[in-house]
Amino acid sequence: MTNKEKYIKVFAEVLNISNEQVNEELKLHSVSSWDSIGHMSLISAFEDTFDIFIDTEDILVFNSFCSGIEILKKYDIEI
Amino acid sequence: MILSEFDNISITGISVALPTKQYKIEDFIGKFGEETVRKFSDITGVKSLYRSQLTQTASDLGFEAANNLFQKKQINHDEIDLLIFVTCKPDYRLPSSVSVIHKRLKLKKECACFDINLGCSGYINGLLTAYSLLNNSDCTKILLVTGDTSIRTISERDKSSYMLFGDCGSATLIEKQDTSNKAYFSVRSDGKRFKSIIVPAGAFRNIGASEEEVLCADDNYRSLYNTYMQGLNVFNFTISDVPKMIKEFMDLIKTDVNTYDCFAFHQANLFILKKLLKKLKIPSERFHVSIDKYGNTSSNTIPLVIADRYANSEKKDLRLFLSGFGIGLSWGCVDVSIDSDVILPLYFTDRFYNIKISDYYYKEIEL
Repeated sequence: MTNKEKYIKVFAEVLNISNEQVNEELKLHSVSSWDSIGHMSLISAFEDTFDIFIDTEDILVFNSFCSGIEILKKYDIEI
Repeated sequence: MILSEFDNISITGISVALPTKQYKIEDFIGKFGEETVRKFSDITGVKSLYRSQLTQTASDLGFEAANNLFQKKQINHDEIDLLIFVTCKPDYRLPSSVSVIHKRLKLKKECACFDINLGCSGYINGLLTAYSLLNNSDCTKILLVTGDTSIRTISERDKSSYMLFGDCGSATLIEKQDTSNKAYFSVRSDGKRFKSIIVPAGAFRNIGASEEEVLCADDNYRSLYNTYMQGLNVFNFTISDVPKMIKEFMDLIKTDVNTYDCFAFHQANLFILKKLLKKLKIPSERFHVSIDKYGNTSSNTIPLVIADRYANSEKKDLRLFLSGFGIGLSWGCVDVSIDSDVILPLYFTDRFYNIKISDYYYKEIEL
């Protein structure tokens, strides 16, 4: 599985949405399941999937599908 | 940063009271569905909660904790010079709930008392108030009581909060005592974020507000009489402002994470606790988690963590790092040493103050 496939799978499974809904339009609160619990679950799932620890400063700016890609680059994860 | 330093003051008793009714997280599957409950439990760490019957108030839980302390430690009621009650769930609009506790504990008239309206930082602010008054008056013993029944203002259709909060009360005795132990405190607030955790109606700002439950932006139904928690704002506050203060505090008093036997933090949720632990590089064996058993019990979480970890402990002299954070927003931390012998085992009770409605209308106030 590629990193992009893993990335999409995390969003789809955690937010309980289809793979098609995981696209560049996906943002915090754009689906009801991306609430505070969903947000923490996403961060936790990315940490587990890519075996990283996401710093506070990065968590504070993670608010969309696109920003997540930029944040993961800082941890040498290319999506 | 406000930094307070005290000596010759000790915590000489801690008692925590819980209601007997336990809810397993699985009990909520019927209301919210299996997947929602599983995901919630995985991220928050909540596996069970204790909740009061409707007849048992926050002050009842606080009273029971205090009464248990008085009985087990054979404390003379007349020795208490000041009583402080921390709660967000008062018995009445008037008077302060502390007056009810003062009566029920049969404290002397010379014992002053007042409420502090705070939530998750309430134990820290209450402790600081007690230490400050002991330091600057002729008081010798102060009883700090906390109590909360957070569920009372949470919508039954709020899946992000309904499964999070448990009910609890605590009592802590603080007294002047010759001791070489020092205690350090620091507290902060940010009123700009007062709306982050709020019950908008029910007091005097929004008189006559609609009781209709509406669908909020986070897909939860609430009325203005329910607790609104802007989860992401609170989450961001907790993982940024709180560790920043703790680091600055430890730098100021020249300690580090290895100085302390245990970090007793407010139990907001497990994900936040894990983030704080990693951010502050706290060894996991020195960090006690109790949210799995009791949920988030507001101002009671810190004494509950201490009692859950150290009641009946063989280890005697403990140096603890306490930190509370929440409503206000407000946050604070304490470096304090205590003897584990002063910590009582958890006390479970459903007792409540059985005062009838008719008593308010037809009877003279007892003198």
